Amino acid sequence: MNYFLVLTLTGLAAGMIYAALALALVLVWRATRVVNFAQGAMAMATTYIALAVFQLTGNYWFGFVAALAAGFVIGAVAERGIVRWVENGPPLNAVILTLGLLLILEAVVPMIWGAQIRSFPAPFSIAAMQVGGVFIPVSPFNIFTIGVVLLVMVALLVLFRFTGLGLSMRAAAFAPEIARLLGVRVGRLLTFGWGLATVAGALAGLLVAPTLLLYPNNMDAILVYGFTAAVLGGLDSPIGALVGGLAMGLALSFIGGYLGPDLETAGALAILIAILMVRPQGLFVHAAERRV
Amino acid sequence: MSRKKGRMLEVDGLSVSYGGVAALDGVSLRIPDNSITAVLGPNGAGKSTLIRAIAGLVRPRAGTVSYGRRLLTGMSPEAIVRLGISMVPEGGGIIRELTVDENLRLAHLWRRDRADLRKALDEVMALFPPLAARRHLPANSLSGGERQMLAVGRALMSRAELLLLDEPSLGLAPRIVSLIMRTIHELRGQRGLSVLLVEQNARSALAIADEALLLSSGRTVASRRAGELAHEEELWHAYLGY
Ligand SMILES: Nc1ncnc2c1ncn2[C@@H]1O[C@H](COP(=O)(O)OP(=O)(O)O)[C@@H](O)[C@H]1O
Ligand SMILES: [Mg+2]
Repeated sequence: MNYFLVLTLTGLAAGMIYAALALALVLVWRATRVVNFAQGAMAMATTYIALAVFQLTGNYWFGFVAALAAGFVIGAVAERGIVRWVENGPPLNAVILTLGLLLILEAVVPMIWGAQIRSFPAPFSIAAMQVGGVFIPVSPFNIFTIGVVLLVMVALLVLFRFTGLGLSMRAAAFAPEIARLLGVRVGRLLTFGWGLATVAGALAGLLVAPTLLLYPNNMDAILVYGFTAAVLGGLDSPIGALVGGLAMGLALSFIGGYLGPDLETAGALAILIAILMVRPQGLFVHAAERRV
Repeated sequence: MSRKKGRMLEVDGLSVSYGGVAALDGVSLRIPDNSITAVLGPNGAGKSTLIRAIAGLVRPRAGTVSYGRRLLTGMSPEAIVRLGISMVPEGGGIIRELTVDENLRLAHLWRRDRADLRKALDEVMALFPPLAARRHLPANSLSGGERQMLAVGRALMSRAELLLLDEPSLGLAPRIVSLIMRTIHELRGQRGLSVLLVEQNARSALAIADEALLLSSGRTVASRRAGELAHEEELWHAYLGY
């Protein structure tokens, strides 16, 4: 198969994972105007929990669900227990706090589970498929990755567009004070938003580990890619996170494929810097949609 | 409509300061059930501060606010609205990113009563027909008058018994001002609402109010029947500067 097409397909599958992490960052940003630099480390921790549950039960899906549930709890606890205290302070305080959380998680996880690199199970084969004798550079797990992230995106879209909870969350994000005057319990929604975000992050962690393996800082590069994707999408928009994630996946796949895999991280940083210089408000958000 | 009769809002010796600077200094007032109280005063008099303190958005340094037998001081805005007090902030506070319909629904969500939601929406549309035509458009697209209609309509969605309105006539054409004032007056008459009406437009406010309070530099300068204050033009001219 055409090399360009190969790079495109693998780029899209990787992009879905970046989109999931970007989505986590976007949900946190929408709720509390904080960039959660610990999002990757939280996803790493929930993936270790998934591994522990998998080893205990022998069932991948028990581990999968445990990681998502743990993600919700960790996110909610982080907001209520830690971030809540600096939300009204200078933005730098919150940034330092999430960096601190990142360091703590990357120190505590190896104390519990060790620092060695571990393999992580996948529910479907990660080997490329052959259909009718033709080699297709996409694995069943890639298809699962694309499907499950799309499913989460659609579920969030339905939540935000068609439910009272979603309406309250949007109102709390756009105009917290007005929302409170209308009876919206904004504080609870922020906690819920962090929980939901960390579920999306946990999903990214589960999707990364089968191919990139699991170790205490296995999500560091993914955080950079996801953050770039989120900024590309305007930081405020779940759809933007998806488009940004896919754009990042494609860009890195082409950089790695044509220029050499060593340049991927540098390429991501170059893209991030370029966006921040040219269009810091992101590519997919109209000025009018931004909060006052 | 089931209403608990006879709830009175009582503000007693309320003081608020921002970083040590007093914005409100020992203000007291009572709003009996089914009455309109106008609060007049020049820019910076502390009118918004008074209304924000009642709604729970700012913590008073001293004094109390109570409604019926409940002490509101220290309660959160989302708890206060659940007691039947709705505030319309200065400028209306509509959420521009949401549609007209979403703005309205949002205010009713906490009641968790879908049947009543539809009724409440219909009532607002009947009260302000221009909103019905714009129902599914972004609130951003409304004219100034329509925004104020949306703001007042939204406050009614929560089935409030007491409305706190912060300068609803601000920046509106005279025709719209009189429409809004007429509506407020009718709400008092037909639905038995009580209203705290903050205004710089003294003439319009006094025309529909029962009681009036004149604030200046955070203190009460005069507290009268609205009809009496309406005749003391030199008094409010001195403070309002026109
Ligand atoms: N958030 C704030 N921080 C500091 N000072 C404020 C704040 N809000 C109002 N003030 C000050 O408090 C005083 C009263 O303001 P306000 O209640 O808005 O008056 P009004 O609504 O009558 O124009 C003014 O001197 C104003 O500058
Ligand atoms: Mg004011």
